[in-house]
Amino acid sequence: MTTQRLELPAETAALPRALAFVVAAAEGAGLAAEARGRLELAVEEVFVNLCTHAYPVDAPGWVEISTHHADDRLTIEIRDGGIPFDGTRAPTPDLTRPLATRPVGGLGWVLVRRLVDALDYRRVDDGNLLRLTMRLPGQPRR
Amino acid sequence: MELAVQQTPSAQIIALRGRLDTLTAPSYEARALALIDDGATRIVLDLAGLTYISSAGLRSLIVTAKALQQQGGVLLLASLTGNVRDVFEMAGLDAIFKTYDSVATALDAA
Repeated sequence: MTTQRLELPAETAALPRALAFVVAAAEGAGLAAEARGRLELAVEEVFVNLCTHAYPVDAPGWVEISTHHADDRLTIEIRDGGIPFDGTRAPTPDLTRPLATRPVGGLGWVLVRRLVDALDYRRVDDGNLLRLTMRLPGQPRR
Repeated sequence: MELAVQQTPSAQIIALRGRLDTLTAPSYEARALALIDDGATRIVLDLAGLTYISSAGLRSLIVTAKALQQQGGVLLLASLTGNVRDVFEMAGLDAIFKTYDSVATALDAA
């Protein structure tokens, strides 16, 4: 298991650093380009959501991203110290409505749930821990 | 993201290149809404050069399409490719937008 960690301020200005860190881990783990793109987008959605909602507007907080590369999977853990929030249970907007009545938002968690191979949320030590897992291409047998 | 606007007799064409995400979607949205304020009713988005779109980008497409619809106009999307098309469909936007293989076919429809 190879693990790396990065702590960032919970601000959207830090998004490029968060994505660069995750994409580098995905490349290092041998994740294919298409799956790398899915993981990058899922991390953007989670990161931006917690920057916007986890902390009070006048007291911005922190985010810790860690990457865990095992034989058959790459897991990204995203922690914050903000208010309890389980995005895995966020409601899905009605995707059959016509344009005139379609809500403009609420698509981020729809995407996250569909982009990654597994998603897991826990409330741990007064913080939120979201775990995004991508399966890796099969390893040749020895 | 790079954005270029081209005026034709039947529509305004906005070509987007690069990433339409949390950091760049506001500048696309401001530019498109300004065109609508100035009277544009048919906008074709040329997405051939778009490589990445997030929910913030999808949101900006819905916002501009709604603004056009309220003026009796329409937003036409041309040349979605690869993962941009995948994300677009994953979020159910194919149900509310007409998409075209090229700017030329979108202009014919406009």
